[in-house]
Amino acid sequence: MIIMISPSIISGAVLGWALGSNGAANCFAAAVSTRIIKYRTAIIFTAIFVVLGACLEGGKGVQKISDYSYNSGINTPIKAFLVMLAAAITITLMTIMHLPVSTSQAVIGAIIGGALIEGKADFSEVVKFFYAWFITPFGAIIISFILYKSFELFIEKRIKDYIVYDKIIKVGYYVSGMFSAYSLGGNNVANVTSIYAGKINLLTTNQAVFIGGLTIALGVLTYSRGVMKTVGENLVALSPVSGLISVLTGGIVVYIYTQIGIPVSASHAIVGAVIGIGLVKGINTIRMEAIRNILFGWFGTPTIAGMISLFFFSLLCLNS
Amino acid sequence: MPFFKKEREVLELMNQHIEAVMYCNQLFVESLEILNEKGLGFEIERMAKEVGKAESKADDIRHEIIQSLLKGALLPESRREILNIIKKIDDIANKCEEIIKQISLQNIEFFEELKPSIKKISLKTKLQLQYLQELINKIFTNFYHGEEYHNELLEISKLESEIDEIEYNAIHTLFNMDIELAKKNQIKAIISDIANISDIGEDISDMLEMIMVLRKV
Repeated sequence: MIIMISPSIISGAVLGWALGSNGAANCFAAAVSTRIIKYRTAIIFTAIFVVLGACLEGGKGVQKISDYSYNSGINTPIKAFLVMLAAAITITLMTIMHLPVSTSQAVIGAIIGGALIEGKADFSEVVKFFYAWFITPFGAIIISFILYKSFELFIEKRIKDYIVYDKIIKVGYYVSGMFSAYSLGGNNVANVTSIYAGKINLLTTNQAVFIGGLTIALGVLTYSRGVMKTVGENLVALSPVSGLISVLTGGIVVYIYTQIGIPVSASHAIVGAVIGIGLVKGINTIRMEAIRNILFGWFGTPTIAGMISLFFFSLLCLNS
Repeated sequence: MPFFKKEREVLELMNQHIEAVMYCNQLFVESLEILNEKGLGFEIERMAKEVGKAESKADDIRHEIIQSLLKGALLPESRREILNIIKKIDDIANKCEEIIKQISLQNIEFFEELKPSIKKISLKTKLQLQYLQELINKIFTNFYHGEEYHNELLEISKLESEIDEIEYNAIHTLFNMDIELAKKNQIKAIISDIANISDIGEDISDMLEMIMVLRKV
């Protein structure tokens, strides 16, 4: 049986690749930087668990975004192509300009841009997404605070042996990395292909999550080394347990949003986790650069993506 | 437990390594006693060879540890810590070998006024190394209760300070003696080298303290 797939998903695939090469680096960055896990092993594990997460958990997010997108007037293949192209260009531009990348915000911004021209912009829905993005780092602060405190109170005292400590850290990095990749796949796959699924019917939900997962995995496998190194260096400055809890918290927060069906930024969750650990230790782990990046992710990214999308849709209107 | 086989092998070899270094130091202390009591001669040359053999054995064990670490035991950061520690522990054996070799080669004998100081330094160093061995064993099996090791850490540091003071007084006595400056410098270098062993011991205890601190949540 030959499955016909619309060429309009090319722009989504590009976005998926960019997401894989950027966002997925969070999962094993600390483990790779500390050489606990080899880069090659890390990307293979990330790719496998991203696809698994996308296929097993991605349906909810795909449904939500595809409904929102269709109701915003993104109802033809060309419009879907342009929205995803606007998001992909935003991500590429931001990467070139060394600005923080937030795929979820770029996609929603691009949908709103198109919807404005279509006259179907629904800002009440946007508020829900915005609320979720806003809650992400704060939720991570609370979760990492609880996890870290629990580790300190209940687990640390039981680890007496140097060797056992080593094993716990090693196994912990593997498990949290795989879980984070799984959560990321389940959550962020909606950014990549959901616009082509649902009522527009260019892809079925199953096809959307599978193709989306594969494109993210491809990004991880082909171009994630640089970002993984940068993210890892920041996390490695923490102690092994802190690094581990940051990654695990990121995974948990993203997983919770996966169940709600809203794509969020894993990077923002990790920043929140690091702040939460700082609160337990009574030290200031708040980096102004990280706060600036999050604020830019909330406001700057959707604005730029929206403007690019608005421009594309204006051209489309002029031609039709 | 088969799950920790490689790692346990490393720790077992570390125990053997420090035992070998302690034995090397024991022979070194005996050599200095012989030198103080009987002076230079066949026995010192024999002891120098014995110290050399003990140093080689310690070195062989160190290489075995490196081989075990190459099999992938422990985290890279822990491997680095262990490599640094065994390198430093090995420096003690190297120092013992080198000092006794130089004594033998340069035909050095200590003046009567200096002999008690030399004996005190070597015995206090031996005691410090015993505390160090105890500390290593405890930290690698129960690093969480750092406060319980306070006594050993304190003793190691106290002994190092006492040795420094004895060294200072010995050198002071030496330079007040009516002998050639070249001779003074020659003996001063040996006294400083003997006292230096305790500095290495203290460096190792600092490294062990770092291991505890870095693993604390």
